Amino acid sequence: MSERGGPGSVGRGDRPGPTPVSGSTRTGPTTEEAALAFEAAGVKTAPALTEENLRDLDRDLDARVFGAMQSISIRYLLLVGFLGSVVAFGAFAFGWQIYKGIGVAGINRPVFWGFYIASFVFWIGISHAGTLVSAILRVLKVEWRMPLTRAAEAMTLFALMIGGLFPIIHLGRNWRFYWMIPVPNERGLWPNFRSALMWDLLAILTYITASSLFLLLPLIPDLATARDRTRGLRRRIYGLLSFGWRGTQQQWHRLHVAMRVFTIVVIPIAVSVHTIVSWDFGMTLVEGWRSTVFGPYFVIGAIYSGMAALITVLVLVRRSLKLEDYVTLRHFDRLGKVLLAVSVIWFYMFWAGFLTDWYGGSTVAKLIQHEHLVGHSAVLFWTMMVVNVLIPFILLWFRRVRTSMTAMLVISLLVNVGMWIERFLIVTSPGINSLSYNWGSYTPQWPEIAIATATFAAFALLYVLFSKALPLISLWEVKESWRVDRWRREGLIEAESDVPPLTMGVPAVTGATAVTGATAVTGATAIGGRGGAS
Amino acid sequence: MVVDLDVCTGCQACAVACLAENNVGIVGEEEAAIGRAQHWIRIERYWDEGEYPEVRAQFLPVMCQQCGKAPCEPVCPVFASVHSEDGLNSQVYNRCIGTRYCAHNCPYKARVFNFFAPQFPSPLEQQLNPDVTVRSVGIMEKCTFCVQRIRRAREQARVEDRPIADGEIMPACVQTCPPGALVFGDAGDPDSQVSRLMASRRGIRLLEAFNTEPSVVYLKREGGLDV
Amino acid sequence: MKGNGFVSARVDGEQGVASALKALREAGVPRERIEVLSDLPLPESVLGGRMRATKVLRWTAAGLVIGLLTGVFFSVGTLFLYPLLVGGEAARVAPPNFIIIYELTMFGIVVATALGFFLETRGRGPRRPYFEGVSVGEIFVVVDLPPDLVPSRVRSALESHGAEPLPDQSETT
Repeated sequence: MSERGGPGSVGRGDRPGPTPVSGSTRTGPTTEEAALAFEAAGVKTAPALTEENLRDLDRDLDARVFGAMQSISIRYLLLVGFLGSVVAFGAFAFGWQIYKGIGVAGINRPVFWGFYIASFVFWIGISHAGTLVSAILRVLKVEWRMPLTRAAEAMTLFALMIGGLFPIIHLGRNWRFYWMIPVPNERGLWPNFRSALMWDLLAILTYITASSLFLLLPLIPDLATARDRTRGLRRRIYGLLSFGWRGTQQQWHRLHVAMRVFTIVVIPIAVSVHTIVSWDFGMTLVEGWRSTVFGPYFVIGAIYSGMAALITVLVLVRRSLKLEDYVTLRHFDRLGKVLLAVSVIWFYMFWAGFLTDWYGGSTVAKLIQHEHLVGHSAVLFWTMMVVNVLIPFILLWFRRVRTSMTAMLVISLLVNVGMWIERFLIVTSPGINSLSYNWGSYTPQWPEIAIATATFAAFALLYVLFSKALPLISLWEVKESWRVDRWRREGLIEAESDVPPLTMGVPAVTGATAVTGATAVTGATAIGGRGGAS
Repeated sequence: MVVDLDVCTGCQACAVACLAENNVGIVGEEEAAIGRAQHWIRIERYWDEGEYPEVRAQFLPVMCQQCGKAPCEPVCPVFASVHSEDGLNSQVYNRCIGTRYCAHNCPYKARVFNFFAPQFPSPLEQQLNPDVTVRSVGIMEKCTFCVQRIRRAREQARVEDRPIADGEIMPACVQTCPPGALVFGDAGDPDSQVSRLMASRRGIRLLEAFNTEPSVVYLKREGGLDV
Repeated sequence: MKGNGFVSARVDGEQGVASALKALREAGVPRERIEVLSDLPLPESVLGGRMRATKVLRWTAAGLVIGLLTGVFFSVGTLFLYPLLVGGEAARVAPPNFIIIYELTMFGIVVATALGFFLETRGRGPRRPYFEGVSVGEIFVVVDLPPDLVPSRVRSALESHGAEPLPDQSETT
């Protein structure tokens, strides 16, 4: 997209329209911006694109995406083999646990929940990346999301698939997990809908359904393209999955309407999912868990870890699939700003809970805090503080950091380490409880570590397989976003008066944070068909 | 149930009796060391301030408090933890899938979990109680107030067409307690021994701030034995 | 809708679409019998308005209602089917029900919308022409000929407006 992203800072002058709103007025590019724009634009800098240019770009994008899908190297196979064997070992550990009993895990009384639940919360958190980038930015009509949506939506789905496994792995009688499915048993007894775990089940079921459809729907046109580009079995599979897509305008309109419903619905679903996950803890009588701030705290934590994971994945995918021209440094610049904002909000929420406990909390809650601050879990706690708060807060202010792939990779990985620790500390805090005779500690055992590790490998494996099976960039959306500019110039799309002229791929925002930046383009007729129909 | 802390000597006879009566599995030393002992009733030992030998131990026998507003119950997704008609807090073993959510939500940590299939090292398997289920791996269990004894006494009384006498029902721990620190009876009957004891000014309920309305009343220590 | 076969033509860009549509309108082809195939959604101004309304939102509404009712049944109904006392609360309580109802309403919306989309896209009736050129960015116009129009007339109308009529043995999907 930002090949001609250059227009973000150059070549805007030829476009009619009012001055951009909300702080995005600028007279000319600074040197730094120009350099960044050039870097992002590569050789394809061209202020106004003809249909011919666009065709070339289309072909180039198709060639890269489908090329990446069709070449399978030895390194790829080795990677698949490696990841597969890690996953297989995790499966073995799970089998061992079923065979021997859940006691092979390190859990005990009073720490009845351990690695599995921490991983569960972690992965459900990761799943919020897709919703945030895809749905929220879609609602806000932020155009720079285009090349990122597919990768983010896939993350959501994979993370949910993995996260959803953990409550089952964690059960004492895993083989009876289906007793929670809302159908009556042979005596006519239904599950207990008053239990937060049932809320969990239904919320995750809804979310996984919504996010897989949210991924599938905009994928259909690309599947149709893939169908036309392949032969044999692959063609038949793609044909089947593309549901008879022919690209008629009726179909486009229908897709647009359906996606609008999904975009609106998936955001409250995502919020409810992590809120309900937090209520597994917040609703209890357990000191250190019982809290009213847990809902929003977990939601923002989920978005935080999800954003970080998205950045990690994008850095790796961009590099390995050679998508530097599509997922540009400007994207990382913006994502970095979002990450910074979310990091601050996360700390605020954390502090709101922490201070409440410290000031007026019960003895037990204070003892848990003491344990975190200077006790046995102090190393974990302070690591979390450093990687989740300090490092992002210091570094992400600098554009040089936000546009450095190495720095972003390291920061995003660290944030997720921190978020994992946060969940771990919360889940294991009942080690300190009201009757001090029953205090205990928790040490993870090898099956737990093996399974937790295996899920990271499984996530990577799903992603690696996905990258060969399906286009990792939403082709039609990117192509469409390229044309919006020309359509507007030719008067095919109305240029609404109070809207900044959107450049392709690079919105006219330079606000302090990307959050406000995104607001600046709210209501923009970002995309032709969409804008017209909304 | 009433527990008189002035009388309790911390002898652990109740715990042993409970193990025998309720077919509680033996987990062994290593497992017990990491907190997986299965005891349905345990003697919590707290040391008073002071330097040896000027210290005193306090004993607190803790079993399931059979709460009126049991926090373990609503959190179970499969209704394995429910209220029975006679006010007991019952655990339905064959419904349990082992989420362990109930155990977390129990402030008394009275619930124990079968991390492995229960073991009964020989010759313990010879004395399994036929009135009590032997539990399987991966499920929650806890004190039942010896519900099998309650049921038996009630049926006996019904057969003989008479009310259950005060003190007729004795859970294994109560029956065993050498100093008679544990008293069991009908708290709904104002003339029963437990009702009279519960009215004592020494009566407290454990962790009352949680508002769980426990059925167990502790008579707090005001002297009694020095141990 | 009885038809008289299909006439297809390749057109050049958005301008081509606009003029082809104009030609077809002048030739008397009703709008609902025209399809424009492209690899990305074209602006509606090119098409002279929306091509045809979709019923997806009706599915959404139906899903909302069904989901809501299922939620009410799960959370309220099951309490009547098998009342059990938990936590010293009444056998039937309201607050947690809202969560169940909320989630199942969302579930209903999501599933029904997607179902409506798939069923409508799959379509019924005879196979319609498709051209693989669509997926490399070409734009095609497909006319489902009304009984009162002869193919040659439509063809020449299209041709005179710069479109490139195609022989009828198109690939179909």
